[in-house]
Amino acid sequence: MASQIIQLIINGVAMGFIYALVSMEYTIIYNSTGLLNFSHDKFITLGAYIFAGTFVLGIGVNPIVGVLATIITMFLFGVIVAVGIFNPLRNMPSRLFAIMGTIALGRIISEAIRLIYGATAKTVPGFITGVYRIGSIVISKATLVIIGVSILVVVILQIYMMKTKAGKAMRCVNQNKTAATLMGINVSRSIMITIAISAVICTIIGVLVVPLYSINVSMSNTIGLKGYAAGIIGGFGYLPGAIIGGLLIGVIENLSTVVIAPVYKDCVSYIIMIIVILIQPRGLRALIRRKK
Amino acid sequence: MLKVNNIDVYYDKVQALFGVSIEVHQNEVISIIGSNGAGKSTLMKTIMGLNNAKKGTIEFEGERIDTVKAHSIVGKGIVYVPEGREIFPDMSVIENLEMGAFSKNYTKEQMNQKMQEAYDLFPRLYERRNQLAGTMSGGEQQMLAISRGLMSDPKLIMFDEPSLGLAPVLVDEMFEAIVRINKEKKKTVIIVEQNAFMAISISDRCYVLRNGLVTMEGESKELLGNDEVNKSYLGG
Repeated sequence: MASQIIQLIINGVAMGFIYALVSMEYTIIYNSTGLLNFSHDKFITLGAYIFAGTFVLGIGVNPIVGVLATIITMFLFGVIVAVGIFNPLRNMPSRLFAIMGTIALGRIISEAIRLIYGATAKTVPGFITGVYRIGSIVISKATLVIIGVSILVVVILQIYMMKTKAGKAMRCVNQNKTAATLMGINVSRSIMITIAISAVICTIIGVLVVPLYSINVSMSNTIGLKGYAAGIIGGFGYLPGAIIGGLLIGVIENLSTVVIAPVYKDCVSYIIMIIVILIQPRGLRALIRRKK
Repeated sequence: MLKVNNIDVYYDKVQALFGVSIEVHQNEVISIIGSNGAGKSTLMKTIMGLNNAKKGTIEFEGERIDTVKAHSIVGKGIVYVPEGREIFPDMSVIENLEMGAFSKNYTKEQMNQKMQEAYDLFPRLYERRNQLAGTMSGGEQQMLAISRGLMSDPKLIMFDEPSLGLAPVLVDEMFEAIVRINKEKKKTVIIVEQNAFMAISISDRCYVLRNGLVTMEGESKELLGNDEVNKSYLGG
């Protein structure tokens, strides 16, 4: 029993990190532009397809090279999305324009994927397979890779935002766009970089879930939604909350299978989200009280 | 140094400035006074490129700047300390100051030296250096906004309502600092104020704006003796 619970927690942490990355990926865009990227789950799917369909199965490169090539491709894709959608639409009289823009983009990505890669699901044979056994605990290699890479992403993003000039500029843009402009920060360019970074995080998520799911057009629907739930639980727009919210959901939903049937596992995170909205809409952010 | 030439500015269809011209010379302190809604802040924002002039030109050191993008104006050597301070609330004092130097590529020593200058001007900022700017008092935030503006070592610095919402003792401190910035740091200064008496008394020349028009301009000493200015803005 104890080993079963430990195993559930470890798997939960891994899934939790996936949700946390999803949550981070759209939170940085939300903070910079005040807009939600409704095509974010499609970015994840696109990343997985470019990695698997184009680079690994198509051209036949080594997966590591494939990951790097996909990251570069998706970074450029993010730049195009910023220039084509976010920057022109964010200054429109209503946010609705940008919302519709990203929803339309999501549809375009899905259909483009179907056209380019076909409707059948793909798998990458032999990509991060294998298990480790410690006593009676069985941990898949994919789980460890997810946890390791996610921690790396969190740390790198933190260093970027706290230590680099571009990262600090990004935080300024989040807080006050007029003042940022007066400091000489090119707000549109900063937003462009933010969206490109978000696209890169999406790619990393897409690649990380390749060993877990088959690659198909709807592969990221569930994690996309749970990423939103994680963000709401953490306090919308609050990055540390997004990470903790993701981990909480991952661990709780996995542990819930001890008491309820695994079929209902996916409901758990949405129920937690609804309870949080009802009781404390600010989520975990409410726990941090600022000295005034 | 700065020449604003006959500019018209609109917010959508509403005209806010009507053929406004001002001229600022090296090392001067210029005050721009006028009541609420006269167009003072609009003028400042237009110089900074945040608004666009439909007509007229703005020149700085002989170069047209009305077509330059807003984020590039700082690089030309003009800094605007906006009304309501507009500091970055979730950043520490140190980080706010660093961001003030965003347009410069300072080395670590240069950055430290500029910060030391800021602390010399307002020792209070040194005490608060690691505090989040949003948690400071209004006066401290104003000190930070002024110091942040000086970080990029501008040639011209424009203050918009630096006394807004401050206790009288702090108002004096702000104006003293502005005088020091002009005299000791040799910066050209434009100061926009509703607190007209203070602004006129520290400035060399003054422009009076009313409903988007320059209605009066001249030596500050003369305007202090002017009946109409006295009646309208100085409560005399």
